[in-house]
Amino acid sequence: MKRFLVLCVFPLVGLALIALGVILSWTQLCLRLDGGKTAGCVAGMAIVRRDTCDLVTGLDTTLALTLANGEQVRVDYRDYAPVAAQYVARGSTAPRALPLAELAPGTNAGGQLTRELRAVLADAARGDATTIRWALQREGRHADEPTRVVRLEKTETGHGFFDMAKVSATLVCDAGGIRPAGAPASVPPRGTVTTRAVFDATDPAALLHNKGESMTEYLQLRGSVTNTPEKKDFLLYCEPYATEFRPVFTYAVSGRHYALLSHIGRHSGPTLAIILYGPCWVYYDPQQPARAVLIADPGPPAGAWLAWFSRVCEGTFTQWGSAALIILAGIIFILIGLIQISMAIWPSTRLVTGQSAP
Amino acid sequence: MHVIETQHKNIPWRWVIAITILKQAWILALFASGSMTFTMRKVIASPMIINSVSSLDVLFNIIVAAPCLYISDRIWTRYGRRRPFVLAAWVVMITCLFLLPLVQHALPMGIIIVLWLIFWDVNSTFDMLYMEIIPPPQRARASAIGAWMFNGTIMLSAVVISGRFDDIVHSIGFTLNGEQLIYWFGAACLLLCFLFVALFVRERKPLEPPPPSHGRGLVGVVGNLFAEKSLWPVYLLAFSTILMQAGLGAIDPLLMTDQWGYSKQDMGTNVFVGGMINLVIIIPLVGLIAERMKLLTMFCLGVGGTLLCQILYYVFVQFILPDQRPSIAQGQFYGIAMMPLIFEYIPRDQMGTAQAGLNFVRSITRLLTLNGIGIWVTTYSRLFKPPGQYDYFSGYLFMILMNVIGCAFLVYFARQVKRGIIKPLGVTGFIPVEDAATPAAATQGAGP
Repeated sequence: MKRFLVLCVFPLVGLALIALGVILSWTQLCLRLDGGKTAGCVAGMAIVRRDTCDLVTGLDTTLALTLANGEQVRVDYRDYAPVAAQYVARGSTAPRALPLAELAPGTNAGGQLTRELRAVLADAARGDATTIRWALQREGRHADEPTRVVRLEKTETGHGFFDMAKVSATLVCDAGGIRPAGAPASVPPRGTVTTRAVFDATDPAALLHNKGESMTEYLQLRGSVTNTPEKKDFLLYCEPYATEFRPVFTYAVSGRHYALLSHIGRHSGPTLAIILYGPCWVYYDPQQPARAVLIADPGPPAGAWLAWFSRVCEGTFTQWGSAALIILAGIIFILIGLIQISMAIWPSTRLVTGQSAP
Repeated sequence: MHVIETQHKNIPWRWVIAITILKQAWILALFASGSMTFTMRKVIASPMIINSVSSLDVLFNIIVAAPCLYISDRIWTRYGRRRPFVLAAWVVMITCLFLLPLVQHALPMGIIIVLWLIFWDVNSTFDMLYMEIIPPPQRARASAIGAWMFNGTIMLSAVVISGRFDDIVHSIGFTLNGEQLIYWFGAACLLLCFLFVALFVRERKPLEPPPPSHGRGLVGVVGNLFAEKSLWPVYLLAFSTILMQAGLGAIDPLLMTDQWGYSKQDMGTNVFVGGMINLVIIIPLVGLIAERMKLLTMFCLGVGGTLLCQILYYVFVQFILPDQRPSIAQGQFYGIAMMPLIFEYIPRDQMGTAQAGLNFVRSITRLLTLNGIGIWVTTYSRLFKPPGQYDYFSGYLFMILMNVIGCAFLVYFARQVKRGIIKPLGVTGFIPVEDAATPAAATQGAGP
């Protein structure tokens, strides 16, 4: 009996672990396998701290670039999509509107903006302060190039609901955008967080004096109150490590719109495979469309294949990695247990007792 | 018989498979502990402190692992001679892995990590237990099975586990973060090892008496290691080799994530792809070259190549890349270029004293270089970076400096060989016993 119990230890522990892994991902697994599939959008980001939460539903960004020849470029973005672009020639005060098609990075659209300038704009629009520093550093390598960027000012205004006690998993999505569920009186008013940073590499001597630090001005306002975040960075990058970033996704079923808080989040910054204001897949319960799961959409292979492959892995394993690892541990237990049981039932004839050969 | 025993002349292959799977679980726990750099980074900013804590591992190799291995050869208890060390260590290690993601302050975190490092060295007797179960005639095939599984473990760890550190999953009413997942997965793997060895492994008392004690304790042991003058050049060679393999230590993952802005998944994917290329191209290529070249020539090429690669890589990143940040693919290329040069595939010498002496020299040198690189990066960053920012890549300058010193020793060594002062047998025997950075090599080299 004791021998039987000992032999049962490994399979039982293994089964318990597998059960735990399956229970952990049961809802998502059922929705993924049996649910309806529809295209969704990552429409917001919940920033969850120990005691307060923010729900960011919109981001307005303005980039003002000064080139070495004195020309200026100004681009306005809404939710990372360009909405207006202007160009001011050297010595002129009258801005001229630029076609938005010119802003697409990696294309040879021609026009006023060089390929390098479009890359800087693309990096700066979405990127954090470090990305902008790299972009300016890149530009600084072309010291004789009159169209290199020497100064970049980024103003980012985050719209949403700030300093809430918690964010519920189910949100309301209507014509006014995303908002927390509940009676109007219980929902906090919409607010803004504005971050303005200036990166200036106009004077190489000053840059050297600052040990390469190009950020010369930084200000963050929560509403109208000056805020000093953990890191001097933009809204999604200024939090300490412990802060959690949970994407909010929206989708439509039978003409009705839904907004949910994703069950996966990330410390240290937004989830890389689930891109804010980017597309995603949503699997929903046809009986209760408000029950849904977000699945990352890495898109077709584009750019550096290794980076794309990494994104695919990130999306897949962020979603299923936890359960998969617990199940894997269970499988190892069962495998070992089965080997031991097989040894008990069918002892090997290979065993030769005695001192091993030296 | 379902209990696995030591000291058999021949064992069932199912034993070999079971014990090899067990060893992979043990290695997975080791890989889980690789995230300790990121855990420390949450509360400790200074790379000097992070690298110093990590380098304690090397110190404990000398003051904990060596005595444990030595004593385990010379004792016998009713539970065997290796199992008491192994089981006691695993209980503490499981507790450490369980508690580590729950603590949020530097001091308890430091204590847990130091305990982990100490008991990781106590558990180094597991490798001896493994070797005592598998008899010599079956070790070659067992080693092949182990190598195959080990590569699978690396891939799994790189692509699935390492990138999960920052993840958070909310499900069935509770929250599991990636750090907890990684450490608790490691704890589950160690629990498997513990249950298996406690329930299914029995040590049989060896027939031959234990080897005699050196006397005079640890001092006597160390004294004996250095008494043989003919081994001094070999120790010098080991010293120079370790200088050249200084590496960035715990700073390396911080360079990738903090300075170059890649995610931990990017880092894992990089290792995965590199591992695949290594398996398919590099290992066969190195095997082919090794058959046709003298070891010393190969070693010299390795040394020169390593130094050249490091200088070129530093110049490329620092002065040619416009934003001083290589793409993932560029980092990968460097890794591939380095692979043939680290000589981990060259057969090892088995001479006990020299082996122990090499371990000693290697540990001391590694202790110095790891701490040196931490101090270097901190000082360099204070001088040349704005407050609060660290230039981890500056560690490459320290590595290059170490390489130059290592090269100088190598030139001296090669000249001695050429003059016939150092016998070729010693050269072929001892040069390749390196690369303690790989877990397999580290564990295999931990013999008493």
